[in-house]
Amino acid sequence: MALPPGRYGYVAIMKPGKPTIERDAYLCAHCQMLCIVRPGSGTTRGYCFRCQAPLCGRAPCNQRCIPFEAKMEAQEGRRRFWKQMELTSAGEASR
Amino acid sequence: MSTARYTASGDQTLTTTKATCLTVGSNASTAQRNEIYECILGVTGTPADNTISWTIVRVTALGTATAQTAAALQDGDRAAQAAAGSNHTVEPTLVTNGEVLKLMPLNARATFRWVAPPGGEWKHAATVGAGFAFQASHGSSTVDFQAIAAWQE
Repeated sequence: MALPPGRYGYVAIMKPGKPTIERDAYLCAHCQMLCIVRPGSGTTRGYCFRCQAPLCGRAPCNQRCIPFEAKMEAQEGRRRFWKQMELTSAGEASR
Repeated sequence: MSTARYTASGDQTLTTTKATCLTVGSNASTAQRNEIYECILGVTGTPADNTISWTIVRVTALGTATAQTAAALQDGDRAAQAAAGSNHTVEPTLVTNGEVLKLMPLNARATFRWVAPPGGEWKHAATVGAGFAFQASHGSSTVDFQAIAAWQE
């Protein structure tokens, strides 16, 4: 599982008297969980061929492709709908 | 599209349950997206060899906190629209399974820094109260811990 250059983030752990630990990191394409790459760790993640991006490995992310951008738009759409209907998020009339 | 960048920090005292030191999210009147591209986690008190459990999680309400004035990273940028809060007295409302950094054990003497690649930031929806909470806990230690976040909006 390799990302194109420039797609990795960067994690550094600094501790006094110890060498700085530096790792590549990426965000899951479906939930944006931060995953730190540890070569040889044996951790099983996932890869979405529709998003062309690695996943965090959690079952909901591995089982169904819902890009995170789509989740945000759905959340914003619900809020716009509630506002147009003059409802609160609890589904009650706001006035 | 030109984006403005801001930073804010927050601190809190460790307890046995998750306590929030910093939230960054959409403000109460104008909902907008924010994108966190860097965070630094560490201890500001006198640390011992304790392993602190850190979590960064999505929230739907930012809780009650001391408001932090976000610093613009470039001269001439407008004031930040995002709401940043520190030292929470009422914890934020967390999103179930909304962790973006899940229970990361970190030695109290260590400092953790994450920098996102361009386009790989933590983003939240443009809904009022949406955002991120930076939390930590420890079974016995009561030192102060701190998080610093940098974001663009």
